[in-house]
Amino acid sequence: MPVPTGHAHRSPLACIVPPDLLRDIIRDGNKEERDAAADTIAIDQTFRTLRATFAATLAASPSAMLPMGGMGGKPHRTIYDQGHSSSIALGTVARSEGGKPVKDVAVNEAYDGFGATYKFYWDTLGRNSIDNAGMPILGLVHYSTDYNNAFWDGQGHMFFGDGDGQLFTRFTASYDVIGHELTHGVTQYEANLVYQGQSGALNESLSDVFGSLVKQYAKKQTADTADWLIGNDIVGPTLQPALRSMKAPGTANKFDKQPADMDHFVSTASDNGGVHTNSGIPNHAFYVVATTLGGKAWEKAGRIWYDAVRDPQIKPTSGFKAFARATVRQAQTRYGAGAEVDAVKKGWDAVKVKY
Amino acid sequence: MAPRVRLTQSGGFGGLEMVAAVDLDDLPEADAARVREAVARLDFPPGGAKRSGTPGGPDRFQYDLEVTDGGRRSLTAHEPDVSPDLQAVIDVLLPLAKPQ
Repeated sequence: MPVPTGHAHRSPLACIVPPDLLRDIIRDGNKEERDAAADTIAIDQTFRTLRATFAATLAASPSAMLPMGGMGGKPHRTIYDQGHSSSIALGTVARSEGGKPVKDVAVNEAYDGFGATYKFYWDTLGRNSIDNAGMPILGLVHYSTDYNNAFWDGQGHMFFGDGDGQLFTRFTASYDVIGHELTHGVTQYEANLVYQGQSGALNESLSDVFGSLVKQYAKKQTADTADWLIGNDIVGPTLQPALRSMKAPGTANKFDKQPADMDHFVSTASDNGGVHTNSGIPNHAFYVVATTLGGKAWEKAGRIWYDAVRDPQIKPTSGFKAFARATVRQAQTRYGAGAEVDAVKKGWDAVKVKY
Repeated sequence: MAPRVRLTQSGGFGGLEMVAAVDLDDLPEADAARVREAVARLDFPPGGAKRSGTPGGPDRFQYDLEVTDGGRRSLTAHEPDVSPDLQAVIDVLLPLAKPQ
């Protein structure tokens, strides 16, 4: 299997770029320049400052922020067929925005899943795509052969394997998987949590939380009717019935080792310090908050979590405790003292995270 | 004693830990030769210490390789920083790996 090489012709951009120039590049540049500008923003820890500067300078003409024009509310999707190649170079365009369904089910699933994810973020949180500035959504399907994975590459592309049929089936077949991957992009543009240890597990949990909410929103489920499972649509025979359970971490399949509280936090060198394992702790906290509040989980619990991801006190190295504090603080700010703050505290108490 | 090779794949969306541990003698000769040659070219950090490296990207795979042949050598790699020689080892051993 050939080893993936980097995207060709990526334009280097200095890390210290005036916000006006970055804005111009995002608005007027070609794709490579826009990607490079986005990379620069993503790796720049001063992004928050830049973003604030952008907002201030663009208050008079917000549409200048949108590379594709317009005021937001519509996704800009392109799905590429990688044809089972392991190269990360963009494959053949299989369906682009507004295009009719094609014969390839994976292409349509990715297109529809991205549509559902965009709609969730726009309708419920007012977020305009991955970067909140109308960023194009690029999905690459049929990546590699029997590939048991899907991932966000940190540079605007989401890759989906077809699975080997034993552990996993098509990764596009699930809104929670597609929502999970796109949320990795959102997290990168917001808190930019380091993908290791507790900040990495928090990064993972945010993707599960919002992936689950994408599914619940599309299916019009409430906290009580949702299954709170991750990956139940993409597991093969070995991993039935699901990959993770936010309701009962550690019980989704016979290999599930997720802890449900801090007493069972897993120390390991694998998986960047167990980021997909310890994510069970904040996952379960969210479940407790959402079911305690009842109703549609995205309306209050999801909003509080989203506000916390954007809380200026959340840093790339923030762990569970810092995030728990941010959720309490944001619930207090948005709703005042009362049922919402109490539910948030109950959630973190349930998983033994102090705040 | 034949070299013993242990490959662990962790992470990915599934967060599964997949382990293959084999004596090279137990592999078909062509596969054993491929692994032996690739391992001979691999750059193991000194002292058998695990290379900490930078964390991988979201949902990418992490690979841990341990080779025991008199001494013990090990290395850790994160996608996409997988060398062609490590990829050769992965191509032979991953199909033998079982979830833990």
